[in-house]
Amino acid sequence: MKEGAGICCPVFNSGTYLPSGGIAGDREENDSFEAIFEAMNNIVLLPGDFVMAFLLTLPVKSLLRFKSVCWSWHDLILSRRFINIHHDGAKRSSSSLICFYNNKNVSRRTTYNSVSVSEDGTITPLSLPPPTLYERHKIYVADSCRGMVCFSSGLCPQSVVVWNIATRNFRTFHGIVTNREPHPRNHITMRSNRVVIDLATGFTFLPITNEYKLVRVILYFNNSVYIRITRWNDSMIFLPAKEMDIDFPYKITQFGRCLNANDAIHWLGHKIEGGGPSIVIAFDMIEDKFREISTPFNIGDAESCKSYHRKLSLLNGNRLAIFGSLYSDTPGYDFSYTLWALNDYGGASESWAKQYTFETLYDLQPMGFCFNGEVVVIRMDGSSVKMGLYDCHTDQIKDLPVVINNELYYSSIFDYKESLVPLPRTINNVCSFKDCPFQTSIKRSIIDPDDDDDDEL
Amino acid sequence: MSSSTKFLTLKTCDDKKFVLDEAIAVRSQTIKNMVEDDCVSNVIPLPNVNSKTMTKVIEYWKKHSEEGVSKDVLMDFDKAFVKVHHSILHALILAANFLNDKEILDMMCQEVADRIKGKTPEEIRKEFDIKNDFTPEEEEEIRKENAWAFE
Repeated sequence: MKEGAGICCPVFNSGTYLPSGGIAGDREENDSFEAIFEAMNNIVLLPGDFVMAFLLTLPVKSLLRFKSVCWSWHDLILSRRFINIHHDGAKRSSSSLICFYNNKNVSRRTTYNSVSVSEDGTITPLSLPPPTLYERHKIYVADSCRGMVCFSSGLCPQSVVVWNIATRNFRTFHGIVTNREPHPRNHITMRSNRVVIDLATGFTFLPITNEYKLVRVILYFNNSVYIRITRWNDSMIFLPAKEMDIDFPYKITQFGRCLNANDAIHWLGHKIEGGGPSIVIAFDMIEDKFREISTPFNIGDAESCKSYHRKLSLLNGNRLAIFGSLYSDTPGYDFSYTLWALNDYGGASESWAKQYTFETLYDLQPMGFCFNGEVVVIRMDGSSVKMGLYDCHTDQIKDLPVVINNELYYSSIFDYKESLVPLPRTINNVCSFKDCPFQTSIKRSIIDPDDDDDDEL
Repeated sequence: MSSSTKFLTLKTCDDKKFVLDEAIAVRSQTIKNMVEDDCVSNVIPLPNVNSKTMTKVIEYWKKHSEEGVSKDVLMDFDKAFVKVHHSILHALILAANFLNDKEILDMMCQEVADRIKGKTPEEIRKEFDIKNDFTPEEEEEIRKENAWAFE
C-alpha cells in the first residue's frame, strides 16, 4: 500500500483537490506542509494523502479530538493550509443558517441559543455562546465569516466579541474610542460630544490578501462617521489598524437595521441634499469606502409607487435583497410581500431583479429569504413569538424549535459553515466603559461551571 | 463518443486483464488523459491496482454509466458499495486515487470519515496503527485544550 502513495497521487499532488481559486498566499507555507506530509508518511502506515483526504471530511469536533492522536496529525490539523481547505472545501454544505436568539428561562435568566438550519431542513443546535454573553442585554450578532460570528452591543460601541462556534474560541476586541471618557449620563454620547445615531459592525475575510477585517462604524448626528478597521492575517498577526473620520452626507431611514452582505455593510436611506430617492448606502470592506446603490423603488414600475414598508434582507444567506411589504388588495389576504435581489453585485450590470411576490394571512416579519422560496420568519403565535420557515408556494409555516420571548431584536440569521479558524490574541483587552457588556472582568460565579472552555486572556 | 464502440484493455498488478468500453473507462481521469494523449497502444497497465479492487471499481463505473437508472437506485447502490471491509476500503481509495476518479475517492473518504468521526484518539491509533509520540504530559495538555470535544 505504501509504495502506491509514493508513485502516484494525482488527486492531491496536482492540486486538483483544492477548491477553485486556490488559497492565495499559502504558497510560502508549502514547504512545511510538505514536511508534515513527509513525516506522516514515515510515521503512519497509511499514505499522508489518504489521511488528509478523510480528515478534510471530518467535522470540527472530531478534528479537535484527533489532534491528540500523534504529533503529525496535530500539526496537520492546526496548519493554516489544512484549516483553509477544510473550510473552503465544497463538500460540506455551505448554505446553512444560524439563528441566534435569546430566551428567558424559568429562572428568568437571559441566555442565548443558536441553531443551524441546513438546506435539507435539518436543525442542529450549536454550542453555547461565550460565557461573557450571559445575562447581558442588547447583544446581537452583527456579522459572520468563516464559521465565526461577531457580537456587537448597542450599549458599548467600543467592544465586539468574535466567536468561532465550532471550536468555541472567542476574543473580545475593545478600545475603539480612547480620547475621552464617555459622557456619564448619556452613554451613547462619545467622542467630542457628538451624538451617536447608529452603530454597525462588519467582519470579513479577504482571500486575496489573506486578511481578516473587523470594521466598526459609528454614525454621528452631525453627518459624520467614524470607522475603525482592525486587521489581522491568517497567521493571526495583527496588521496596522485603520481609522477614518469622514463626512456622511446621508440620512438613514432605518436605524439599527444595517445589513451585511458581499463584504459590505448596507443601510437604507437617502442623500441629505435635495432629499432624493431611496438608496442603499454601502460601506465596502474591501476598498474601505462608501458607495451608493439605487433601489428598486425608483424605477417606473407601477408597483413601486405603492408605499412599501421596506427592509434590507438577504437571499440565500449571501445576496443583498430588499423586500417590501404592504396591506394586500386581494380579498382574503392581509399582507403582500415582494422580494428583490441584487444581481451582479458591484459589477457593471448591477441591477435589482424581482424574485417573488406572495400574499398571506400571517403577520410575518421576514428575517431572510432562502432555499427556493422559503422565508425565515418571526411571527406572533398567541402570546409567544416563534421563528419558522415559511413556504411562500404553499402558504405553510414550519416552526423552528426557537421560541423568542419578546426581544425580537436579537434574532439574526447568517450563512454558516463550521471552521477551525483560530483567533488572534487581542492586545487591548480592557474596556474603560463601565456598562460594557463584554467586560472581561465579568464575575466567574455567574458562569456555568461546565462552560470552562473559554480561553479568555 | 465515436459511433463504433472502442474497447480498452486494462491490466492489473496481478496480471489480470479487463476489457472495458472506452466510454466507461474514461471515468478515470488518468485513463482519459492517456487516451487523449494517444499513448494507449493496446494494454493499459495499472501497477497500483489489484484485480479484486479493479472488479469493484468497474462494478461502480458500469452501474453509474447505465442509462435510465433512477437516483434512488444509485443511492442504494452506493450505500451498499461502501459497506466493505476496512482493507478493501483502503485499497479502493488508493485505486481511486491512482485512477484519479474523484467521485469514488470522495465517496470512500466520506465513508472512512463516517466510520471514524465518533472514535477516540486511542481507537484511531489502533485502527490506523499509529504510534503515540506524545509524552503523557503533552497529551494531557493537548486534550485539555478542547476537553468538551471528548464528551
